[in-house]
Amino acid sequence: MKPEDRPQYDWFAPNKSAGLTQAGLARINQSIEAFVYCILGAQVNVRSSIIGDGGRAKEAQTEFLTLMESAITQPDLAKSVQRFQLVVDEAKVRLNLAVAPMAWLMPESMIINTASVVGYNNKLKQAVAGTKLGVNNTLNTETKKSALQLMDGGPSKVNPPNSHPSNPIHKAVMAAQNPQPAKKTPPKHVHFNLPRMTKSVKTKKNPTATR
Amino acid sequence: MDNALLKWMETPEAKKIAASAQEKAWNDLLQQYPHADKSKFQIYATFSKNHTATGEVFLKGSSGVLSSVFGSDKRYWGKEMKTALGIDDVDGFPYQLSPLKTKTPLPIPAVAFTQPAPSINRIFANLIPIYVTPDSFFTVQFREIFEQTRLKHNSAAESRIWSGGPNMKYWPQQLNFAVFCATQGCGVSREIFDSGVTMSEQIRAFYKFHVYFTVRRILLQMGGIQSVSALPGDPTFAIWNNKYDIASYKRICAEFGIPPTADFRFTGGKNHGLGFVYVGVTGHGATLTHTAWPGAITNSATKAGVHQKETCFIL
Repeated sequence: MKPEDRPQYDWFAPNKSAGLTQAGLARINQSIEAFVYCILGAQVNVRSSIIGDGGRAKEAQTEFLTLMESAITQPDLAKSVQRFQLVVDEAKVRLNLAVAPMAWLMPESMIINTASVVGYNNKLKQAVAGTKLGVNNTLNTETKKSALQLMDGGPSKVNPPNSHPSNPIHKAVMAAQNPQPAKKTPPKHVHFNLPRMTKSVKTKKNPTATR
Repeated sequence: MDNALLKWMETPEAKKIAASAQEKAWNDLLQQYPHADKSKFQIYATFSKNHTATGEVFLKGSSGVLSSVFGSDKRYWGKEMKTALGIDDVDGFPYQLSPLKTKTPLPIPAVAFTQPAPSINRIFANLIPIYVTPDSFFTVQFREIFEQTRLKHNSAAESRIWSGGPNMKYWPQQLNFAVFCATQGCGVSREIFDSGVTMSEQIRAFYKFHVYFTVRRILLQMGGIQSVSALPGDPTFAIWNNKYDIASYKRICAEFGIPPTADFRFTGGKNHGLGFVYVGVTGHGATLTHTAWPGAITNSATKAGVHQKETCFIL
């Protein structure tokens, strides 16, 4: 016996629906996590935009499929949420697209920022217009500062550094974000009585200097 | 209207017929609009000369005017009609994307086998657009999974097992189950991932991704912790006996509110889904016959099947 040549699964997808089920909302959340992770993760991994016909874009698109297969076979749901949040942080995108009520927001624009930001400069890693075949001794000659600095417009493109109070960068970031109002109370006057230094004392304390 | 009919309409029998027609009209409306508010509608029954009645649902407008629901064009429905039918936007989302309030079991199959069902493979067999911004996208080809769904029964014994009841060891039933969960189980219809609801292409493309991704996830999860499930093309794939984990299957059923004994066979078409009967003689090939196959599993049907197996081969 041979069945008719029509895909039977077509009858198991509804033409109309009256709303999303609770299980559906949970599954949509998982799909959002995977979708955003695959698109942004692919671009972060190859450090290139996924849009376009160039080799780098094609590489990102292939990476997208690889990440998608890994997301399908991912058994741990918690890891999926972590990856979603990590990739959103890394790609510095704005979450502003709602696809379902009470579900994760997605970035409307998922093109990663490849412009030079503090701590990273794409031009230092990619061949750009003007780069010739072979060794380019004129490239990357300058020594880059490794420390993070504040940008114009605030620290939005800088990952918050180690928040330990002893970290000077953290102090600078926090100071920029929450500028303290000037205190009205006058500064305390502290008086120190320092011992008066005489020539004889100096020579006594450092006898080798006279030798 | 003649006097005899008017007189008959006052009888208890006529009132019973009218009430039944009104109830049917309301149930028909509820099937299409489950969130409809009955208090905002009025149902009238109209009698014909042969003493049958048809019901019609009218909206009681705030101005006192009655407007027929099925007798009007939905493209011109006002906010009052949409709100009464429960199809107005909910908190900024179209009602198809709002949380479902009722917990009535979802029908299996989602589309009756007697009704036409648009193709899903038409969407997923081609290049899928992945929108990265509202107006720029790239296209990808997902791994083909919507294939190898035609079971050829080579003997009566094989068709008997299939006809005996739902059995998830068959790949087509696994795929039907996964598609059902990803669409009907989630509340995502073709209106959302294909066309119907007005939404941006970026969001529609996401829902296409959701359907494919969820189908793949469910097929994987059916394999249990050891991932015993296989897809077409995998070395361990078997259309007749594709391994799955029963406990995981039951867990997914519970997640979507599906009874584990639910039937995911396609029983539409010829011979209850078994297809056409071919009879062949060795050396002469197979010939299509239009003989009906005894679909119901009875003793005589079993005997008939065995008899055919003995005398000829069936493709």
